[in-house]
Amino acid sequence: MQDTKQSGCMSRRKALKVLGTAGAVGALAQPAMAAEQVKAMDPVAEFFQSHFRDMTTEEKLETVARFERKYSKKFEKDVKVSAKDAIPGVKFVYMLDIGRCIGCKKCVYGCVEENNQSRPSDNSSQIQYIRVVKQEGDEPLDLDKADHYYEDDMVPQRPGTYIPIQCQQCDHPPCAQACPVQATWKDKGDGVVQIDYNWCIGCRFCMAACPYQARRFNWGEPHLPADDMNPDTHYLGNRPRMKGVVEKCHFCMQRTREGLYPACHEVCPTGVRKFGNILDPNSEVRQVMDRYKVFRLKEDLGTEPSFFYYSSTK
Amino acid sequence: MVRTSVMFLLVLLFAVAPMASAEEITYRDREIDPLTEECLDCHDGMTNTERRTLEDMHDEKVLKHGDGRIWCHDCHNADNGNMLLSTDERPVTWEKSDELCGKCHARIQEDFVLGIHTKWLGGWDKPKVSYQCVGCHNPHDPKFAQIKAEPVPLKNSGLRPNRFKKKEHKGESNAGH
Repeated sequence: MQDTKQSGCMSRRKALKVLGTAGAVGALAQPAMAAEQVKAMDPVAEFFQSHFRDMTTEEKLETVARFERKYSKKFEKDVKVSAKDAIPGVKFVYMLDIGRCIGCKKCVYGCVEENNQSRPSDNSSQIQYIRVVKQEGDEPLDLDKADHYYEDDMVPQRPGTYIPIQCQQCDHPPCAQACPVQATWKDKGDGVVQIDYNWCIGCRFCMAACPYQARRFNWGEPHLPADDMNPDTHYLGNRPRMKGVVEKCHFCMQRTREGLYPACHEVCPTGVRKFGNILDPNSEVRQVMDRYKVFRLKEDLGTEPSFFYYSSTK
Repeated sequence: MVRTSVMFLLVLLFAVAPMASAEEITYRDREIDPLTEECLDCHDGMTNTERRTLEDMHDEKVLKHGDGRIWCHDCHNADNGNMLLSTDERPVTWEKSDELCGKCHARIQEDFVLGIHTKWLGGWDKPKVSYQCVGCHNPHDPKFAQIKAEPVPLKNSGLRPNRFKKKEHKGESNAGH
């Protein structure tokens, strides 16, 4: 009796095994079906995906492929989503010469085009990562008196100082400390403060914590026309965002992790922007640091920004 | 064509240059009018070095550099028309024009050589590409013209449809980003 029972038990297990194997074989035998099933499960998989930092390499690749499918369908073009890690031995630093900045705001709009920000429409905000402020006259720098909405048609209008401000990529980022779900964190390699948009809960604590007003919130569904969408994206960088998440400058990681300059650097007509690896003694940022007196904004807060300002004219 | 448009853009702008490192730097040259490319065709041992107002030739050149204190042969080599004149009176080619600009703008030339006074092209981890001084600055009329600024950012866009549409932004403070 006992034997029979045991054998029965075994046979049930065997039967399950056989069924499972048959299922797997069936799935392999019909790859097209499987791909469609996987596609159909994409929204579910996106809902249940884990934090980007907790993912294994395979999970990252799978996630990135899923988003490529999603965006390619939505924007009707071949969208690439990268998950490239920081290049080892590199720490990004930005240098900006405020003595020569002419305040043309080309960096602002170059950034918008590169990073797929929301364009203004009736139901969506205009999102810009870079704020260019103008201080009238020759007085010492005082950000409280600087005007974000200056209306100079032809620039530069001297005397006047123009100061572009974007995410300062702090070494002690208050935004990352404020985030209750650790959706934003500083990369230990190149030092970019990045966001997993799918993990962000939209509480905006980071925006309150940031002393540089560098973070932007998607109050509505972002308005991004398919024609204007930049298909070269990074998962933590410029992939299209959704309603209710925070975003900010990430030093164009989809470009800089490939060795290119950020879009604001590329588009600047004056050459006041310097970008590079501060650990490389031959880099231009290192030359600036050696030769000029550099300063950072709100240094007394101890945020240790990676964004430096200097003036080569005074 | 592309090169011409890029040049035009950059001529509006600032400076150009290299770096004090062992790495290879590619310099891009200024677009030179093909008619004047071969200076030697005319200036072969028959250059009049007398300081005067140009009437017959080159009268289209506006020489505003240095408020008129500078004369052609302060920069152009009278003995070799195809060359420029360096700080220490050596003939230099157009690709090394910084060696002559440093005659007056020594500090800026130093910045140029260090790679600070320039707009870098290419990438931070790619081969270095830069323009020479005259790639961006017009040496005969070096002052940059003002350029048109991009639009002012909108206030409170997208928050409430149409509510702010008809209001004038003028005169408001900059409070509330």
